[in-house]
Amino acid sequence: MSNKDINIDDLFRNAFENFEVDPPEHVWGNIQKDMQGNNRGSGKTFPKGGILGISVILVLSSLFFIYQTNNSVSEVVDSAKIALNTDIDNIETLLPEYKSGENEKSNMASFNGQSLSEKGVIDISVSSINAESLGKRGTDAMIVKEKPIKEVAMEVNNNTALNPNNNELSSGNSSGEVENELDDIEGDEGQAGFGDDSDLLAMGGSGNVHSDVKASAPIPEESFEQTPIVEMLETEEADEIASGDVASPELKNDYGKKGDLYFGLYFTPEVIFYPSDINTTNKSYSLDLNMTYKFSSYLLQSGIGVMSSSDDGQSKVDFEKYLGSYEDVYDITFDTTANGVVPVYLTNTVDVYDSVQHVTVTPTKNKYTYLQIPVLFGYTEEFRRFSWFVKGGPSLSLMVNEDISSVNLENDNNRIVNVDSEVPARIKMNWQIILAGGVTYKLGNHVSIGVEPMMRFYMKSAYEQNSIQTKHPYSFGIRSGIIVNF
Amino acid sequence: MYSEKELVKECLCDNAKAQEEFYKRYAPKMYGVCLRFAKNRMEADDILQEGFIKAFANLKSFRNEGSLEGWVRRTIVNTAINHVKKFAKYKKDLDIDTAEPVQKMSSSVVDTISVNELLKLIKDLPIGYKMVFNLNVMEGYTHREIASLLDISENTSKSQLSRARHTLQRKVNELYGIDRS
Repeated sequence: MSNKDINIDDLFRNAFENFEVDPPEHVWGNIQKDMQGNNRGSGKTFPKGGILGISVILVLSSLFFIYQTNNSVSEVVDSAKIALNTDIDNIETLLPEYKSGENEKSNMASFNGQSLSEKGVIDISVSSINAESLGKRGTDAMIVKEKPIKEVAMEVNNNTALNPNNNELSSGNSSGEVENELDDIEGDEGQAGFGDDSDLLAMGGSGNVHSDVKASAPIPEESFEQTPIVEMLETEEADEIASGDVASPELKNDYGKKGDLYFGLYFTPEVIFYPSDINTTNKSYSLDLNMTYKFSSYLLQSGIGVMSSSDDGQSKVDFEKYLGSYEDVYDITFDTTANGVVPVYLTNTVDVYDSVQHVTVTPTKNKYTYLQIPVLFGYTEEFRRFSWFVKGGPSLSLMVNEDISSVNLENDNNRIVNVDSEVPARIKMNWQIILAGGVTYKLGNHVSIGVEPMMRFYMKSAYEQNSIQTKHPYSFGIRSGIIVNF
Repeated sequence: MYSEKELVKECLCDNAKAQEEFYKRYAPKMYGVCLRFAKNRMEADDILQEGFIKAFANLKSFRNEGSLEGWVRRTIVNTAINHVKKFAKYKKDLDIDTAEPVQKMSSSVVDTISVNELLKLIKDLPIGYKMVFNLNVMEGYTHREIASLLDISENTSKSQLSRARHTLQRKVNELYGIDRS
């Protein structure tokens, strides 16, 4: 201390100039724990967590699809068996009226006597469609050999469904094997022309079909081609049926109950609420591409989306004021010339800054981009062109980009010593629960629009726990988009 | 023993030894700063812990241009401000007190005052006085800067400082029986 009098400011400044106190040991322990926790939670392990999450989602989705596809095939095979048995029963019932001999009857009986499931197999050929009776004179009737059983099942089903009033049936040639030819299955309204299998679907109760049903070598079920049912309906008539313009309730129900795949492009504005000391809200915008698989009245939806969000805040900037510059002579040489010795000064320009640090507060806007992968399960019902649904499930949110706004000082020459952002750091990965409900409206056969209010609940704070204490944020948004199905 | 540059580099590489040395090198001095801002030791512990976590997290922003100690000190002070702001409300409408000349004390008196006694005097100040006194007198912030940091007006900052000085002066006088005349 100096001998002269000092004021209160100097008293405290001098006293605390070299003031040091050893902190308690537990503080360092806590810091270590926290740093290890942060590394585990967000930083380096982020890719592992992300990859794990995506893998789980993909595996679950794959298993689900496989399960559903197998179920669909089984259902089709079962329906084929039932349909064939039913038709054959009908044939047997009607046969006495049209029988042309004992052979046919016995053949038919023997065929019918062995159920398809007992045989375990079926090779069925639909052949000999009478081109003349179908209005395709001069061309060969379509002969389809070894068709997948489901297609045949559909045809037989359709015949049954579309020609409920068949009252004429004749059996034609018998090949000696189990071969039955169904001749002249005529509807009340006469003949109708069609060019391929699927046209059968649109016959609407009229038309003649000659078919041979032949049982021969077994075909394992695995070899059945898993052709989506939708493919069978890709004709104008099928579209009409699908859109409800043609009355065919049986077909429509079948169509609706099989699995359908929809693709949707959605835009979602959201308001996010952060229940914390600061009680702030935020906005975000998402664009996502979803794939929805509908089975019966249920749906499974997944996809990928990009969400953009931002944080407004301020940064405290410690800086040193730029005062000017001077030329620092770091070397000098002397050149001897005719006029004498000339000194040459080698200089550097040195900037001069205020030795006192200053602080200023500047507004900042940090932008974040997230990749979002939801897996949602739901329930849906259709009525006419509308359908409503509710759905929910987890969503993985991964930060893929953060744009931290730079600090701008009034004078660019000022030297920034430190920037302390008051905007809390965000975590890299978050799990959320999504709940949504909404309606879709069918614009056409393949295109719909949809709108759905949704809620998103964050499983943990979106921010680093060290920087801000928030509870679970939640958000509300309205998704709207266009849906396409094939 | 690492140089400052080496220490920063090693800490950024998650070298546990370097991080511990970083802490041990600066923690005692920073704890002294925390004690001045906090109302008790427990709060000082929290500020020190939070401040060092922030320092480690933001170490990559240190540009090796100023002193590392100064940078850590700024981080700790900012943390202390945020911490105190969470739990305190400032009176924003205080008028400026008439500035009175600061009384001077003889060095003999000053020598008899211990740091701990002065620390207690600061701790006993109302929170607004304490913040402004610490930031202005001890840390060298201007009133304008303090106003920005604490969300108060410059006049309020000046007023608080004036009151803080008088309070401290009075307490020192009472403690050591100094006549104000």
